[in-house]
Amino acid sequence: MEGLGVAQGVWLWVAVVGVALASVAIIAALTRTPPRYRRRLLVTVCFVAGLFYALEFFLPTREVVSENGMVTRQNFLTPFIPTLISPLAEVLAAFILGLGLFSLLRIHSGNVAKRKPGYYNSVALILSAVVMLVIGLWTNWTESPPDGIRATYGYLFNGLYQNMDAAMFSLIAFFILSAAYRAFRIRSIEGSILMASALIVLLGLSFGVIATQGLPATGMASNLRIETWSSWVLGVVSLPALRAIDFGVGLGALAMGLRIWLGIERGALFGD
Amino acid sequence: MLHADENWFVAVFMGLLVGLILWRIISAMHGRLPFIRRIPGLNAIDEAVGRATEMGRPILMVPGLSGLDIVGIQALNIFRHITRTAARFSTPIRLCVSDAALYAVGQEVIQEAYRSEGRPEGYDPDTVQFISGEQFAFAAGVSGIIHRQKVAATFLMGAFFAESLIFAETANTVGAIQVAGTTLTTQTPFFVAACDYVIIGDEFYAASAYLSREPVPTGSLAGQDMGKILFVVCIIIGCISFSITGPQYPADAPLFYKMFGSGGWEELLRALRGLVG
Repeated sequence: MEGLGVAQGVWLWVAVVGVALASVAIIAALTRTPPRYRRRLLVTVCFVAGLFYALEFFLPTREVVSENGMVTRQNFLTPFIPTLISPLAEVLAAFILGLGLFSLLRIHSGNVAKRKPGYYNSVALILSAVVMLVIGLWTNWTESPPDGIRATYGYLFNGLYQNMDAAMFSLIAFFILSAAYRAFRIRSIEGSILMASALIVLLGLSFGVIATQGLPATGMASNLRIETWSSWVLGVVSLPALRAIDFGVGLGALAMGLRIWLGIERGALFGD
Repeated sequence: MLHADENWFVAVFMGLLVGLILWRIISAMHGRLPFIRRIPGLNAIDEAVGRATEMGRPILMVPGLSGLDIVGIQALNIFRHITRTAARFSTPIRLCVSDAALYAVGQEVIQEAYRSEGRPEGYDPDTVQFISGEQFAFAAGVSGIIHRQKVAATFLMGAFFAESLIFAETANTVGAIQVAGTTLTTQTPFFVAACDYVIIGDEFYAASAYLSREPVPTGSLAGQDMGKILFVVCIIIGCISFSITGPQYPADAPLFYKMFGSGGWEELLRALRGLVG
């Protein structure tokens, strides 16, 4: 935030309260705005934001050497990205995260209040969220938190959370097996091709190499080695297909981005 | 940050693609609507909603780890259509998101979908749920919902990573019909292996045009196809000329190398990937 300056002491709190009040006023005003005008406002904001990035991309640049000696190319709009746009996006994300947390607590406290089946899961979730929030804030708020708090944070984060996360991740190994079993059952021509390709790649990347290692590494006979087949499937068949899909997806994103930028997109963002 | 004067090839080619897309949008707005081929994955939406209605069980929609970006918005476009179909038959729906910004927009979209079908009372704010911003906590939460509520149909549309197979296989265990689509080529094979119908690559973006048949998305789709034709022409010219001349060509003709060799295309692909996020 060096471009805008950083408020200190009392002024920091004045700025925080001022911004909070202004935000509440803006949200209230937006809520009361009729949908037709709100849509126009949304389209305008989208266009201005998109125009900023388009101009930043197309306007001529010059070389700028930063304090640490790094050379970058910039035009007069580039410095606004780290000093204004990124912090603005972060503040908006923080606001919206509060909304997500509110949703989570509303749904689960409702489950508990109505004693819905499995409400004890909701109790566990609310307790975990509150405990983690308090311990996490306490640990990071001060430079030297009490040893007990630091240890509890370590136990909750490293001891519980990370292990549960890893346990979830490890489930994928079993799911891959069951999905592969269903996918590789030879029921059609496509299924047979899929099975044959998978077998070649698997053998070429594992013990299959041993079976053909007696063949020469160069010349015509090298084409019979399983790793040659495997790299052919990966490099000649699979990679171009993936590139083609990537180009198609990129074009789709470009078209959609253009429609949103120009405000001609309907549907989820701008309604009918 | 990349700038036009650092990479003229990307800038010129992007400009050309934008021109093609806009031209086809304007043509479509003047009544020249192109033909759209059948996309089985999108046709299956009505089948899946019908099955859920018959079984009286909910439909689950998951945009993966998408945020409020192009992929997330397109996922919501598809979910909006599904919700409108479900609202007609009073079929319960669930939308689970991992991004708080998408949650806020999702609530608005689902509510509006019920309103547009003349059933505003059918909207329940609890149908749109923010689960968690953490990948595997989100996966665990959604899997729990699939199991507890015995969903009849799942729509997995958006940006998925390692959690894709957890969703698809969990839904398979409860016998749900599954339609999936992602823009990430790394996860498409998992969906192909585990789901009933898969929307591959740019079919994900074709959904708006396919489902609504409105001039703007339909024209935009035709523009994208013209862009693809341009790519194919460049690839064919590049293949033939480099097969004749050999790899020494780039040094003699840098412009030719950028247009038809790999020189500019890697950068263009990187720029296009940047749009997807």
